[in-house]
Formats: sequence, C-alpha cells, structure tokens
Amino acid sequence: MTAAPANGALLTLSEIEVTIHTATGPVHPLQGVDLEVYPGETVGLVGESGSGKTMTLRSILRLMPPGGAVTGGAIEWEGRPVLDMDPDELQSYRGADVAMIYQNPVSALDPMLKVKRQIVDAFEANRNEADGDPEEFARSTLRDLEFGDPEAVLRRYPHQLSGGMAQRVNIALALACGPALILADEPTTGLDMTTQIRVLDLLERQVSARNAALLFISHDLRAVARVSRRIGIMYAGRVVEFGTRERILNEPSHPYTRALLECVDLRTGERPRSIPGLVPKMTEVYELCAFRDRCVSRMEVCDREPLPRCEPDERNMLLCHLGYGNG
Amino acid sequence: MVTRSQTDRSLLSRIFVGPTKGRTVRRSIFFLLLLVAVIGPWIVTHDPIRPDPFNTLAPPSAEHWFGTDRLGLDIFSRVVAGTRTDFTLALIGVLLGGGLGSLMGAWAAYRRGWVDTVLLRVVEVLQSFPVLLLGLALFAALGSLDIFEPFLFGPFDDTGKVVLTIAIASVNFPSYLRQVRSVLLPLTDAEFVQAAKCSGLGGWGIVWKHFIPNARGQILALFALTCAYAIQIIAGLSFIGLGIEPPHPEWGAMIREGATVIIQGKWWASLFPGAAIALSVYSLTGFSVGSDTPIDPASPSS
Amino acid sequence: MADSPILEVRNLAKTYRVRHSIGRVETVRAVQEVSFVIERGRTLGIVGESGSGKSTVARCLLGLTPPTAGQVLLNGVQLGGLKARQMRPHRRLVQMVFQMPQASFDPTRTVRSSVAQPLRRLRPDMRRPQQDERLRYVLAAVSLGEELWDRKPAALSGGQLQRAAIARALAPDPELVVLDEPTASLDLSVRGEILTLLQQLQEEFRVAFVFISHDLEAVRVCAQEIVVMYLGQVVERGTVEQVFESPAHPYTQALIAASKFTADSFSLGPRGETDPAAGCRLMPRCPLAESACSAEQDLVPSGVGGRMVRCWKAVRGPVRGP
Repeated sequence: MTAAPANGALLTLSEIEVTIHTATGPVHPLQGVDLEVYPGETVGLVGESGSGKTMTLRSILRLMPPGGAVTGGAIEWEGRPVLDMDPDELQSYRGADVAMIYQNPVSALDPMLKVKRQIVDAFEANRNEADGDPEEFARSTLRDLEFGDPEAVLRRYPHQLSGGMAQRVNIALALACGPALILADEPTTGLDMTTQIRVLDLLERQVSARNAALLFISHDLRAVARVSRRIGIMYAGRVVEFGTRERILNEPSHPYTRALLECVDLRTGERPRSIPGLVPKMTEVYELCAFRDRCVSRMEVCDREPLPRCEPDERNMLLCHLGYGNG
Repeated sequence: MVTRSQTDRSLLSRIFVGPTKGRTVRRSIFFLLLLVAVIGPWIVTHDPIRPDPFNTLAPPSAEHWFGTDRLGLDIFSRVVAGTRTDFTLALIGVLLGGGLGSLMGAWAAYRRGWVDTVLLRVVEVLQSFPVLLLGLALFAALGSLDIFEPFLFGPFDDTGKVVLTIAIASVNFPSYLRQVRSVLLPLTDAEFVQAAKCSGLGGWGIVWKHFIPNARGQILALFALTCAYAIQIIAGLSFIGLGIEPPHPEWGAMIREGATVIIQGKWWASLFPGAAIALSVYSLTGFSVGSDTPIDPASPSS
Repeated sequence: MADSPILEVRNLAKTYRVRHSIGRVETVRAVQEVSFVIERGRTLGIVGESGSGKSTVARCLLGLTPPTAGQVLLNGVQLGGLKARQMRPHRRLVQMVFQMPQASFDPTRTVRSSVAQPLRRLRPDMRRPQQDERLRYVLAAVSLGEELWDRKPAALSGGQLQRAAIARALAPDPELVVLDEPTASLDLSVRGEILTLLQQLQEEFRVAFVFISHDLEAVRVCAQEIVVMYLGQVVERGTVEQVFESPAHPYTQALIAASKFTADSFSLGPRGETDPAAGCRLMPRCPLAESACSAEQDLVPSGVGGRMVRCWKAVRGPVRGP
C-alpha cells in the first residue's frame, strides 16, 4: 500500500478490484489496478478491448454499471478515501475535482441545449463568482481551443457540430468545471486521422496551461504516446507495466508491451506482427500472470508463483517475473 | 427479451416455467384453461345449448354447479364451452392480424420510403377508430352479408364469429406492424443485411430469414398481451350485442344475459363468465415481460 | 479474357438527394469521376477519411446501390442496368467483408449458417454435399476453430468473427472481395494476424481485393496500387511505392504524416463548416493554397509510371509543407 499524501500524488489507486454480477455469473474486469497520478502530469493508459481501461476510469468516478461494485483496494484523492465519500462529497469531487471527456463527442452533449447553456451550467455548478463570468469563460476557452468564431459556436446545438468540433466543445466543458484532473476515454478514436492529432495537441496544451493533470486512455499506443509523459500498459484488469514515455517506447520490459509495440509498427517487406492466442476471459480471477499463455518468454516460475512487483522508483513499475533489464 | 440464462434452457421449460414463481403459477392457470378449451365437450355436465324450461335461474347446486340462467341453461357447461369459443377466436384473430402485421412491419422497415409511408398511414387510419366503433362498423358492413355462408366451418359456424375474428385481426394488425417496424428499423442498413444482399438474398428472403427472427422476442411478448386484450374485445363486443348471439356459449353474451337479473339477487348468471374472463386475462400476463422480470445487467437489450 | 482486368470503374458518380424538413431538396455529390482498374489477383487500396466517398464506391462495386453516372465493368460486363435476375450470376464474383464483425452477422443465427448463406444462394451448380465440403474448406482456410462453427456470433471475439466474415466472402469462390475497413474495429494485436491471413488467402484463392481503409499502414502492407480520395474525388492514384515514398498531393502527405502521429511536418487546417463544391476541395485547409487553386482541378498524369494527381502545383514539381 502506498502512502499517497506522503509522495504528493493527486490520485492513488491501490489494488483496485471490480466485480460485476451478471445473469451468467460474476465478471472481474479489474483485478488489482495500481496507479498514481501526480499534480499537473499527463498519464496515459493503453490496453486492448476488455483490458479494463474504461472500468478504471469509471471506478475513479465511482460510476459503476448495474450489478457492479468496487470489491477491493482503495482510491485516494489528495489523501481522502474516495470509496468512503458521502453523496455530497462525491458530487463536488465529480466535476470540480475530476472531470471526464467521453469517447463519443456528440452523444456526450445534451442534444436539447445550446453549447453556451451547457458550458455555463458546468461552470456555475462547480465554481463560484470569484472565478469570473461564465459566459466570458466560455468565449475565451473556445478561442483557446481554436474556434475561429466562438460566439457562433455558443449559439449552436450539438447536432450542428462536426465530430472534431463537438469533441473540442467537450474539452471546454471539462475545463469549465475547473478540475485538477481530467479523465479522457478514447477522446479521438472516432475522429478523422487528420483531425485527431490536432484535438490531441489542443487537449494536452489546454490541460497543462491550466496546471491540471490528465489521465488519457486509448487502445492506440501512438495517440497515448503523443500526449502522455508517463504510460501504463493494461492487460486483463491490471496495469502490467508503468513508466516514462521514453522507457516504454524505447526499452519496454514487459513481454506484452514489447509485443504490442511490434504490432503497432508495420514495416514494409516484413510480415505484419500480431500476438497469437486469445484475450483472457474476465470471468476468472488470475492469481498468476494472465499473459503467460501468449508470452514468448514464459518460464517455469510463471506457472507457479504470483507476479512480483518491481518498483525501482515511484515513477516506474513492472509486474513480471522477468524483471527489468531483460530486453 | 430473453435473458441469457433462459436461452440455455430447453424450449419446453422456457414456455412452462416463468422467470418468477408468480409467472409460473399464472402460466399453469393458462395451460389449464387451454386444456379446458380442448376437452370441453367431454367435461360438461349438461348440453350447453339445450334449455331446461322447468329449472330457470336456479342457484348453484350439486346438480348445476354454477346454477342456471333465465332459459334454464347450465352455466357451468356454458362457461366451459365458452372457453373454447373465446380462446379460438382470440387466438385465430391475433395470429391473423399479428402475423400479417409483423410481416408488413418488417417489410416496411426493410423497404422504408413510400412503402413505409403508405403502411403507416393505413395503420393510423385503423388506429384512429375506437375499438368498439371499429367493431360496430365492421358488423354494419359485413354482419348482414351472407358471403361467408358457403365457407362456414368448424369454429366459424356463424357469420358473427367470422366478423369478430376480422375485428380482432384489424385491431392487432396495426399494433404488431408498429412494434415490429420500430424494433427492426435500425436493421435496415445493418451490415449483416448488406451481407445477406451480397449473398443474393431478395427482399422477402431477408425479411423472413433475418428480420422476423430478430423481432421474435418482441413478437412473443406482444402475443400474450394481445391475446388477453382480444378476449376482452370479444367479450365486450358480444356484451353489447355484436358478435356471438345466444344460445352460442360465449362469456360476454352470458354476462349480458345475466345482467338483466342481477338486481333480483341472481348473481351467478353473470359472475361465473365474468370470473372466467378475468382469470384468462390474468393467466396470460404470465407470459409478458414486466417489472418483476429480473434484469440481466450484462445483456445489452435490457 | 485471362489478361483483361477483373474490374474496371469508369467515371463513376453518385449523388444523393437529401430531403430537408419542408420541401427543400439538396443534392449531395458523394462520389464524382472515380476511375480505376483492378487486375486479377491484385489488391487496390482506397484511402480516405469520413466523407471521402470510399464506402459509396464499395456499395456501387457490389451493386448494393446503382451509380448515378459512369460504368462498373465486371469481367467486361456492365453491371449498371442489370435486373436482379441477370445480376445473380455476377453476384458470386464480387463479395464483401464489412468493418464491424459483430454487426455483419445476424445475432440469431449460427456462424455456420451465416457463412453458408452465400454458398447456398449463389452456387446452385453445386450439390448440397459439395457445398458442405466447400464450407468446411473455407472455414478451415481461415483457421477458425471447429468448436466455434455452431456458436452464435456473440460467443466469438472480433478477430474470430472477422475470420468467419472472410470465409463467408470466399465461400462462393468470388474473383473480387471488397474489404471495407476490415481491421478498423479490431485490436492492434489482432490486426497483423488478419492482414497476414488476407495475404495468404489471396495466394491460395487467386482473388483480387479492394482494400478500403483509413489505416495507411495496413493498406501499405496489403495493396499494390493505391487510390487516395478526398470529398468524393480521387486526388492521387499510383503504386504503393510512388504514393508512400514520394506522396505528391498535399492531402496524401498530410494523411501519411497523421498516420505516423508526427503531424508537425505537414498539417492541414481544420475542416470547415461546409465543404467546397468547386475548385480544389482541399483549398480551405491546405497550407500551400493560392488563388489559382479555386479553379477546377483535373486528375492528370504526374511524373512517370502512371501516377495521377489532382493538384496543379504537384504536377509542376514536388510540393512540401512550409
């Protein structure tokens, strides 16, 4: 267990477990997620479908699907236990402390309200008068997000916006809450390639300009690498490797991270790479390494002992029997 | 809306055992009533249409379990015989209207465009009539015609029954069409529908092989509900004198017969057919999806 | 006949009429003047973003929608005016693999019966046992485990379903398969596997592919020739080497930069409210735009080797970002 306030982390997740009860039996999407986010830093989580990325974000906000609950571990926000918050505390924690940007930009906006109303409402719900005029804030934020004519955008309804515009409005909405941490769930996945990078850069720039932290999740390692200074790799409901962007991209230590990096990079003339085998079923709880069936470096110890946790310093972490320096 | 745990069970147990205990009880009552409808002629104690002029308005007794009516007809036998009349007409009417409505609803969802528009207009016209008024209009138009005479057979031994069935079908056609259409609209451009077109399947082939199966859950849920409603309509129309006329055994007509003597304290002539209607409708709710159905949080449809 | 191309598209155009609330009808040009040729057993990549018209082209190739103008010649036979019955023998020759594997299977039917459907409908010349044998053959060719054949689609992963979808397309022995973003909704760890499979199957079945994607890397691996589309027009056409080694059109350059997530080298401006209907369609976003760009641009040969470009600047000489 890490002492969150001592190391100055904004958000600490330790050994988070989530169980969802379904008609066919329990599902365990998170099986011990460890994660720290420090003030003002950008952290990315990469994982494939079913790895538990989205569930991690939902557990941070305590937004569980029907039948689901956090069944183990602790979440601390500036040293306060999130799982023990009462409804009032939780309400001010969501929004004013932590805001979220969703994957589908258009459906994340209320179709019946104009953009201005939505930004002003978010501002007024989470801030007080000392923070200035909400309408002025809306205008200046949209200008920061490179809208040529903010006034015209403010008068629109969500369906009158393109995907890229709608996602920038969502960023403005998150910023309007004045949070210390913004969670982003695949915010650019549905956008065009040429629009994607621009939105990513704007997001990163505006978040750091406001000294907020960003927790960004995506299945696309390239998008994560573009905005995040530290990157976590998720597999089967756990963060299996965590490190600085340079370390993850240049000297990955976990066999899964290495395999994933090879899949992203399709070089001409070479056979395209993939990871053989299937993603593990989350109806089981994995005491041992969940990747070992697909792992090229599988050892005898992998079938015997639970995963050791290598943590050379507070910014790097690895869950693998191989340990560091085996690349 | 079949939950995943249910799909693993056999078809038979899925039909007989409901998702809750209450449902299973109601379903049992329904199958009991169905049995009564089938074996009715063998369990009646008296001839349901032969009056006994010396024993009119007798209270329930060992001889006449539910008593007799104004003409001295045995009410128990008539309630039993009425089960067959009401169930058969309701079932055939709903199957006819529901089947046609489902097909046309699927067709409208598949074709969209003017086909969809025309069908929706037809449905709107049909639904704009109150049910009783629709029945009245149908009887006025068809009731006195003898075009059905040469075709009368089996359960349709009377022009009134034919017209009643048409009325039930016309009431159900629109609701099935609307429901099935709205469920299937998102499938019009679904990729598996495009894939079916690539494999050379024509419009009706796609409707039959892909559209109808995908609306099966909704159609079945609607079926129980509309059967219950159909029984009420048949009884209701017969009660106001449309449809089945005495001495044919029919619950609504029996209530009407009994209603004239109820103020004299002769309650049995109306009560038993009334209870039969209530029990049938109640038993059919055992098949519909309601708030007491457990919801599977993992299933995307719930 | 053996040397003639399997498919030839000449000046294909498709316009849709969009009906607004009251009376106002707007014509939208989804695709204009698209021409290309696909040789037997080869792969053509069509690259573009949303609104580029690449999916409309695919639908026209499959006869799912009739083109407004132009011709689609399959084995030299024009598909346009054919009635449903006349279309039947040609249906077998062109099949499709869709983007979303979960959506391309009827959830109420087993994988086997979905894969069998085109075989049963389009190969009346085969007897039932022959069809069953062919079915086993294609399912084995995509290495889909036998235990999955009789499951419903919900029980399979995205990668497994996409294998089944490829088997379904190959089952009636087509000469051309249109792959509409076949890897876009799959995890990256599965993408390579599907691409490798497609390459192997192309050899084995001697089939031509149209590979539609916004994933340039995947297209680069699979295709020999590439068509780049922007707002319904072909802006560049050439071999994989030409297009990737020395992209001529500014849009192609921007796309390649974006796919490497290094947009700083060449980035486009934001997409406007309304897209231009005349002149160079990219003009409002292009960093190199001049007043001469507002004139209508033609697709003209540039350099050697049959490369075509729709940009007057690129034709004069290599264009590079500022």
